[in-house]
Amino acid sequence: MLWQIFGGVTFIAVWQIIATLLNNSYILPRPAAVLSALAGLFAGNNASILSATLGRWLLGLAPAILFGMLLGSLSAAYARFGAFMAPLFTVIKSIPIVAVILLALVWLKAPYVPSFAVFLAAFPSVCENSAAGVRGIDRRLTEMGKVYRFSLSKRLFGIYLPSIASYVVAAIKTAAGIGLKAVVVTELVVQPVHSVGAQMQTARVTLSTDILLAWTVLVILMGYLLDRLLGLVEKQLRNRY
Amino acid sequence: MRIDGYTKKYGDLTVFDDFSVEFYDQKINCIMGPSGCGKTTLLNAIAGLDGDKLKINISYIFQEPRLLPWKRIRQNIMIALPDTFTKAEKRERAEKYLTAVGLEKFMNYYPAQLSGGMRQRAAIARAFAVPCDLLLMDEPFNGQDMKTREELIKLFLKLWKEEPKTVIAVTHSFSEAWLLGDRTLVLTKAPAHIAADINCFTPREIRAANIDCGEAKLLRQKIEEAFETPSETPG
Repeated sequence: MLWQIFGGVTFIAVWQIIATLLNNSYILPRPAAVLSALAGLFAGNNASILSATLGRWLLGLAPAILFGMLLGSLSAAYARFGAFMAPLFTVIKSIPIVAVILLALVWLKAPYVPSFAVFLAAFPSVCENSAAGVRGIDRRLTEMGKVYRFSLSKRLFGIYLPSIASYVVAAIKTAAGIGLKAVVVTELVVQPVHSVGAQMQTARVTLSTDILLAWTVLVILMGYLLDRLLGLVEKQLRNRY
Repeated sequence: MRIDGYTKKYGDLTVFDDFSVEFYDQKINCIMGPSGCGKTTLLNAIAGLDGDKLKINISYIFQEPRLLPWKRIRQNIMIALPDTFTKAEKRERAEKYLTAVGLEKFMNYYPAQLSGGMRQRAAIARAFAVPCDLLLMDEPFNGQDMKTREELIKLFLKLWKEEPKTVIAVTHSFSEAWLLGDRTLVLTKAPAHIAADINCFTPREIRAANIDCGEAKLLRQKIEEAFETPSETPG
């Protein structure tokens, strides 16, 4: 913890020194300027912008989690299905996000494009982790369930889901972070009216680098909070077993 | 309980070829045999773990406790009970059997918080809490230290005496066969057939104190002889 604070302070100090040397608030504003711009964002009427962006993020993330778990689990449980889906999974995993955005612009209404990008960015990690979770299910426990004639719901909620829970939470943690970056990038391209990405673009165009950085800091903060929150859930799961 | 003409192959290895055996009802049937002779395979076949659905209710005490790590001890017993019980009945039954194995103070613990011996006691409680006609055991006292092992055997016999049921117990230890068995079957190497079928008549209550008595010695001798039997029956 001590070294973390030390690292953070040093980073800001270096930033301050470079900004002072450059003395150009367009290229690199001072930390204090960014901080006051950030305060300005909080004071201004930006809640709707932030919630719109988070809404798009969630609209992509939720189905990614749902379908990722479903398809990942099934492809690990049934080898043939896994082989069948493998090409599609490979394509989704390797497709550049720019290609996704441009294709989505052709196929979808603009406001949904960021969500689609989030979906494709988050899906592979959920899918792969769920598959790993299913492969890691303890056969000895499923045998026990068979001996004692567990119903489908007992098997699902008593054995399968708890077995893969820690894998899935770890995957959601990764997916949430990737998704947050994807939503902002896509908004930058698509420019929905209420969006963090559009705000950043406006800040750049009006040469307000301090506001651009303030938005950036805000996105970093959100990512950090999400990561910590899901980290807590992860820890809770680990401690119990 | 009987098995008729059971055949099982793993690749080129024939583990059982038209194998038949009859188990004594309401008695403890021990099964011994050289490692790899298919004792666990036979047990799993009886349990229906290699495919077929069973018509009778069984309980199974495995080598490991096989408790769900994310459920408390009480819930671990409750989840194994058939849904013909109401939730309150399940709870009552779980608590009754956990008390019988001396875990009444640990019902809210997670398995990882208990010792290995306590976990196996919970597994024994689960096996008795589930209403069953047949109880299978696969070296259930293995991997415990001597003292815990003796305690577990004593505990098992206490519960079994209160609620006798047909038991088929795989063991590799002569002393377990002596302490538990009404009868001990010794299998040969694969393809397995029965090399010896030995009944014990000494009352079970006094066996622990008479580990060197005449019948115990005879049992040991017969088991050792049976282990020498080759797998191919002449003719």
